[in-house]
Amino acid sequence: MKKKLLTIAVTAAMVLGLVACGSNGGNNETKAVETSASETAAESVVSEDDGEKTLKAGATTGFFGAESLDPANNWDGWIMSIYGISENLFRLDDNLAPQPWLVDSYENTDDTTWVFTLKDGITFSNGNAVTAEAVKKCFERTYSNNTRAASTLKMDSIEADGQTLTIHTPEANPTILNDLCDPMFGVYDAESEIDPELGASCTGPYVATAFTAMTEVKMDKNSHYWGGEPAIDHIELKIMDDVDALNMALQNGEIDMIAQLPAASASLFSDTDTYTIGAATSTRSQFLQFNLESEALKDVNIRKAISMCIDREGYADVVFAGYAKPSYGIYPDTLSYGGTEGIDLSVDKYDTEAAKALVEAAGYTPEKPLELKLVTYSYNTGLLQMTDMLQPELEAIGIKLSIETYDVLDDVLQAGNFDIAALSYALAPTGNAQYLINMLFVSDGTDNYGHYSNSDVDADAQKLETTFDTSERDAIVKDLTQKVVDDCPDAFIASQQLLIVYNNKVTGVDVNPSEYYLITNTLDIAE
Amino acid sequence: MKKKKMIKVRLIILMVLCAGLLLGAWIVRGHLIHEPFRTNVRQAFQAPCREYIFGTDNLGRCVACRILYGAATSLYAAVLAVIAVFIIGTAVGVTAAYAGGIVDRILMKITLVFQAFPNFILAVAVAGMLGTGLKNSVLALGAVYWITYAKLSRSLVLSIRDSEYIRAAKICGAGPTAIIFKYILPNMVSPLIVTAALDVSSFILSMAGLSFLGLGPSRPTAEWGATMSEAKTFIQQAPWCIVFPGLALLVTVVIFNLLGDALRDVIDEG
Amino acid sequence: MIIGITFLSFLLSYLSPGDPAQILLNNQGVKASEEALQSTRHELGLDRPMIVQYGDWLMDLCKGDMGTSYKSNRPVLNEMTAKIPGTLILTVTALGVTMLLSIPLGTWCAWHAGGKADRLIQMVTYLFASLPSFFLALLLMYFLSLKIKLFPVIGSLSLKGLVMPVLTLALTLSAWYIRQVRAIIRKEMQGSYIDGLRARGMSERQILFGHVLRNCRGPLVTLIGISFGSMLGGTTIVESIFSWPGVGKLAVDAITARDYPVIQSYVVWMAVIYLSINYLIEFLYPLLDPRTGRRRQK
Repeated sequence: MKKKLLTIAVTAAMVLGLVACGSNGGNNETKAVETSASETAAESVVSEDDGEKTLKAGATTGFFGAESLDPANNWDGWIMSIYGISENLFRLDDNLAPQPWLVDSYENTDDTTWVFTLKDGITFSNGNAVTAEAVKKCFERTYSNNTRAASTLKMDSIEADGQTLTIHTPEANPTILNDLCDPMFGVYDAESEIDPELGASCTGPYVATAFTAMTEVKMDKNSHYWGGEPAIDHIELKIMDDVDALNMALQNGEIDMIAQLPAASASLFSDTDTYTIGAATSTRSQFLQFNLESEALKDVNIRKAISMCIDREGYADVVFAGYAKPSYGIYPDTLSYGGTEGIDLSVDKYDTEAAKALVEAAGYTPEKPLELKLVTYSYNTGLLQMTDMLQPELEAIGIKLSIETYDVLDDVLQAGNFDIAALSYALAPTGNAQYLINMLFVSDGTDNYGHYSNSDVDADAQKLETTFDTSERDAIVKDLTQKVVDDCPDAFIASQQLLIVYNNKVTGVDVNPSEYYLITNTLDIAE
Repeated sequence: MKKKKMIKVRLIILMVLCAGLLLGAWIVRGHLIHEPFRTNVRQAFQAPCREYIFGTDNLGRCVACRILYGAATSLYAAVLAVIAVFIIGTAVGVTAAYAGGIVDRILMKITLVFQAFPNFILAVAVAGMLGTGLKNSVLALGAVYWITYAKLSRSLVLSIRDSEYIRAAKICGAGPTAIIFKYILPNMVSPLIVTAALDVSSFILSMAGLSFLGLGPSRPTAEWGATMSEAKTFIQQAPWCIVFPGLALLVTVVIFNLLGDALRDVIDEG
Repeated sequence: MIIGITFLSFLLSYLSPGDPAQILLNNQGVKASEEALQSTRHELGLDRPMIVQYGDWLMDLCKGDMGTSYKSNRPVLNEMTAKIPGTLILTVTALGVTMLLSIPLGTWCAWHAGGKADRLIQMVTYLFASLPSFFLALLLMYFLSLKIKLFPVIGSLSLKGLVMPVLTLALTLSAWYIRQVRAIIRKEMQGSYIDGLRARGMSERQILFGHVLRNCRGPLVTLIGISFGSMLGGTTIVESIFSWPGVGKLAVDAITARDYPVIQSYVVWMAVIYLSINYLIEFLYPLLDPRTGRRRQK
């Protein structure tokens, strides 16, 4: 009995102690959330607190999920840009062309030197001035903290003098302005201490007042924002991975906006009196990557046959509710080097008959099928639906597809443990064609898991690295596209649109195809 | 007396029904009107109609046909798994009871540890570790269900062991194996079978739960929990995709529960 | 006992597939080279024999260090303690509602056993006990949140946000509980001393409240202990559906992300809580059950 008492006492103390420590954290959350909950209970979206405007938005982890508010950490810079906290020297416009943003003017003095003149009078949210020295310091810090920095934009050295920033690149880089738009290169105050919760001090229209990683962020407007004071006083962004809950929250008025809405939900918000759906064709695409080390897939006809069994139109029209465009080439036609004009397509429609003929010619039938393994992400419902569509089609023509899903595909892909990989990439988030080429099409591309190799393609890629003229660049990319289409190492399926749905109280929403921006100072909400 | 007869009749009806379900689930797979996996996106989100009695889902697949196809997965997995844990759990329990001493203590300690975890949580954790796939989720649930049989059979053996007819058998010179198999087991079987029948329905529910969380059979699957989980995303456009699999689950579980109750009643009376 | 629990949890993650070093580096966005993998493995101590690893993990556990989450790179302990209150609030409230619902109903059924209302309630509880909890949750969500717009969809730590998750849990558990309560009370009512009390002229009411219920306190409380376990399990699904900020959702997300440190601690935490509640109940039992109490005094 004594022993039992002791055990109980100890366990109880342990549990109570730890719970007590936890409740302090929980209590803060409770207070903050209870205020917003009472607002929700009033069924009004805008809090009438002293006439202040609040906007609430929701999205899944993929769009809003940040581990911290440190732009140098991992992918957090991307999210901070979406949040409207951090900004870059340049910003992509609606055509994915880089425009000066924090920079006033720039000059490409020689192949490897770029001189930027920063705008005067811009300050970080903590009041410190944005000088060339500040930018230099933050880039240095980012480079030392994040390995992706060097692979995205190679810099030899940076010099700072007043408002003049000079960057030297090791080789000629015709797309440096695009690369500088990558939110990893957000400008922040690296000389002041970076708060563990609220992160770094940046230049954007909003500043974080509360942050819970992977859960939500609350922000107040930056009244000293250089671009003009934002109209909305408070912004609350919540992460909800349950798409249902997200939809219902908007329908209930608990949130005003959903960012990166899955296209399948679009039909719920078709009432244009209440909701607006903003759409922009992003460069995000679904595609199949074939493993060319796999015996059967070395035959280009098999690859083409598989590509022919993808009902791209059905996929775009139904699974994406019309918010996607079938892709028989590589890049979407919104890019100057994209689309399929002038390209000879060997696969240009959904044709299971022709596919069956090809497969039979290779010696496989439904009774004696070719067995292939397809891998994909377990959480990407778009891809999963595509594989669900593809599998029975392939089975009917003599290819038995087994599907394996993973949360983390990297090791599987690197080990070459697959025949086909179904993936979804932003093909050119900064508008720069080189990005994807270096990943997928060159012989030692970082994401070329299928080990595709074509020396002509490699030559094109090399040429592109040093070509500065836009029309020349476009021609090279088109040439490369033709070769890739002929070789079919990957089968592209559809280019997605980025969807932002919001109730009609909200105005000033600009849907940018880069997926980098959401919260801007142009947003407003009616009372 | 009439009551006794009614109870027996009820049991027989239910047993026939369950056997019918199991057999039917197997047979029906070959005779579906629409292919359960062939997609037909142009027919997506059809409300229940003449052509598709339960409607279609997001990829145009017939909900009714998928429910019928998925029945076998849930039913057979549950039945086979319960049989497996029945055998294993009982074996452990009987060994522990008969061997006694330190073997008993160790085995009991192990079951205690397993019992310390809330059932579903342990299953979720194990399934999470093992990964997706029908085999893994069955293993995960099995890891949780075997305990009941171990404990139950152990206590049953202990209570029977010292009863008179066992002592009589021992005096007659029967060896331990004979005693176990000829005398103890037959007398233990009844309460264990009741538990098993009830566990089948519980297993079906738990497996649906695991599938719902994404831990069940791998794609493509027509398993009820999995289809409901996917259908959640378009609950507003096609609520029938959730309602009908849910009803199917409900009906199946109720039938097996009734079977378990009927068994218990017969045993109690008889 | 604690050793057993911790060992089992540790074993679970030790035996699981997937290389923690690979996962860790992946989540940091780094393309892992073979050397990076080896050095990370060494850092994490993965190249030592299992017992040593277990010992280390246990020591850390006692110090309060539950490792670092692979996904978010933050101490697991913090993540757990931030979310556990959420789950506990849900669990305790749901249990409270269950009791409020079940005990009166169960008693009433036992009292009027065989009557029309009793049989109706029996059927209803049978149905609810056979429903998968997620089905019920989805139905509730659809009708109460969407069609009637009564309650919010996002579970927040407020009274209104609490209703739906609690309702789902409470309804499923009550179905089972009502039947148990009914069975326990009926059994008690068939005790021989009841006739004696009746003979002495006590009213039915007095018998029920004065004696039967008091004697049932013990078994009823034990039931709470058992159902606490299934409630904790039920929260995993309910929290996921209603986006309730609790530990169950954390665990499901961790499983999807193969975040083993979190899964491990989750299992340990749940077991500890479950055990403590049961110990507590075992402790309280003699105090509550007047019969055992009396016997002990003698």
